[in-house]
Amino acid sequence: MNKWKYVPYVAFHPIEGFDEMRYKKGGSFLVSVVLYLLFVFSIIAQQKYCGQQFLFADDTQVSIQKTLLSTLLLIVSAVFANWGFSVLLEGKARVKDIWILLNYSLVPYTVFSFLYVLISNIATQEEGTLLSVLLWIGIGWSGFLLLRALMAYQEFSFGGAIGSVLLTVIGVVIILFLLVLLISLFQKIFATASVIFYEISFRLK
Amino acid sequence: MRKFLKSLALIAAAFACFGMQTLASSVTETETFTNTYSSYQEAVPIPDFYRGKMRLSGEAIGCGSFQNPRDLFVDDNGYLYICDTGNDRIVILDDQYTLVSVIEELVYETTGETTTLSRPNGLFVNGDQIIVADTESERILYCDRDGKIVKEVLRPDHSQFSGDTLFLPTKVLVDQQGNLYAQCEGFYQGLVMFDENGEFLSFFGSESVFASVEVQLQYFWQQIMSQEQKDQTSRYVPTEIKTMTIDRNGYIYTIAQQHSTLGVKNEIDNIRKLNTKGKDILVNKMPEAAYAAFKSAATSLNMVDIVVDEQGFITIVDSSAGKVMYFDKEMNLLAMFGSIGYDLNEYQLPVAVDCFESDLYVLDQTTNTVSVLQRTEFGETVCNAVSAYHDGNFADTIGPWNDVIGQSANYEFAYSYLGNAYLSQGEYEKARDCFALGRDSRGYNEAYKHLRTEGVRDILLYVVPAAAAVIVAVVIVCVVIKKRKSR
Repeated sequence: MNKWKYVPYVAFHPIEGFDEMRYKKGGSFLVSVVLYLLFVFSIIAQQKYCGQQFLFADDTQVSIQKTLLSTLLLIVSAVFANWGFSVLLEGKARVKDIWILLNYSLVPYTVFSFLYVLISNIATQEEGTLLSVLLWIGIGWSGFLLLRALMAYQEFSFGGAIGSVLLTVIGVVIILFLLVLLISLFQKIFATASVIFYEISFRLK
Repeated sequence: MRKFLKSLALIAAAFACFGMQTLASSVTETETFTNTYSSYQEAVPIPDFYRGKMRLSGEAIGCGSFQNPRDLFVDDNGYLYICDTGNDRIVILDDQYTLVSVIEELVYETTGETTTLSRPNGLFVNGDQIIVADTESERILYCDRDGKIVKEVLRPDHSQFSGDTLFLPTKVLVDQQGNLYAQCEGFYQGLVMFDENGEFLSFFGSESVFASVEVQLQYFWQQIMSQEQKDQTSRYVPTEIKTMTIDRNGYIYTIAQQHSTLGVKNEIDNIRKLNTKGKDILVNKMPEAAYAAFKSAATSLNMVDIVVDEQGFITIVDSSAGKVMYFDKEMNLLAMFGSIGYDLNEYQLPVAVDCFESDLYVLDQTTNTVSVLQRTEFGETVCNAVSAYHDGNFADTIGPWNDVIGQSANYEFAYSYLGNAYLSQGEYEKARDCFALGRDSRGYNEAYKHLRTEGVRDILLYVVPAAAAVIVAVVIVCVVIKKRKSR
């Protein structure tokens, strides 16, 4: 099967799709990156290209770089957190596998949010509640795909998959906390170094 | 190294020049910084809305300096009443700001005894009667301009005022029925209401306790506590009302003290418009994003006085940043101006505000002066357009609003109002464009709804007959084919 054809296949046949994708090595890194970029664009489209009647926030502050970085940070830390806990839980997936399965399972959400943006251009605020159901369907579908993908790749039971997702959330929080600590540490080191540099340069004068 | 330092110095000099240039330009462009909040989450500079005309001090008027004045009132004839708290007197000026009288010694009309005020904090004028909250004497006095006391309201005979509870009226007002409302210091049950004879009626317009997590937790514990334990816990009570005013329709506006618990409630949530049942009916139609921007700026404000003019414009002064906020009756922040300083447009500690026609009077407790503010041409155009809009003359407002936009293209409310005017005229496309510029998603939704309905109606005009024709044609063809086959 063509590597692109796995994307709709796993979305519509998650039960056998992920198993097949794993054993036939159908998950492609290139495809997963494309899917990730589409996901980022769907988020930006939601902030920028909805009908004016659905734009409540300031759309001039939307930034591709910021969205790209923040989602990448979240997804990458989720991948490593899940991988880290899978070692403890005897999961079988590699880091690359987890990245791929995460991005493949984001597809329904991406599609539904593009649909949301499209329809929001012809809907009124009164129909907004119905419209937001679309997003919730996307989230639910993606969530189910994620659980199913974890079961296939990590060889978890259903409960195990849910447990690993919860542990991953905790892991992400820990990773982000450590990152903040690290950044502030580097900032202090840099500040000290620059003070020393200036001190010396003033003395040389 | 020299070279490096030189270039560093050059960059620093460039920054300094740039900073000075911006400073200079901001001084020359407008005399004061007037702004409003836009949905772009920031303060947007607009042309001056009000500008200081003059500043009245006690010396200039000829009655000696004021001392910590706390309240002022302007009556229907433009007479100015200043509650000169520190000097225990009331100073009355006419509409030309010349001294009419100073009330220092008051005489009871019936007995002829004399008395003096002691730290009066608030006053209100109802026709010929001046109602003074004589705070430290624990009484409210009705007197005339010559200081003759007509009526005296003392501590009400009510369980809330029993024992050592003090009756310290700070602000007073009288409604159209002649009922007297008084706010008392340290009193959280709302305003104390008296009838026209000075008899206690009830409490009015108490704030509700904000159900923060803390409050709910305590409620939970109280369910399982014994009576002795309950008696020992602290009670959560509503916050005190700081100030109030009444508009020409008899609605009472109050501003309550900031909630200390968790700071969940914002300062602007403390503004209320009360109907005769004491229920809050304030309409807030500020666009969501602009409201959010204003709200985040308002967290540091301390709103101390409010006044509503004849046309329903609401003015609020803030004492912590010296700001004067000018709202329309739907709480759109039309302009915000003033700051801390000694300039004609700046204040040290504004404590009270009142209005007469289009002029504003701001009382400054620290400099002991009254600032008179005059509406600028820009402000006049905006206010006329807003009041014409609220009177229902939507078509008349289109010209003025276009004028306003010509003078200040970033004034979002103008687009919003203009959109509403077009909407009422049935010019939905223009309305939609205005709402898009004003980033008013609520208004845009209305215009869009009409446009969509029209669009669908236009299409249906062709689609339905066409579809009917196609169906009929298909049926006829089918019938013909069938007949031919059966032949």
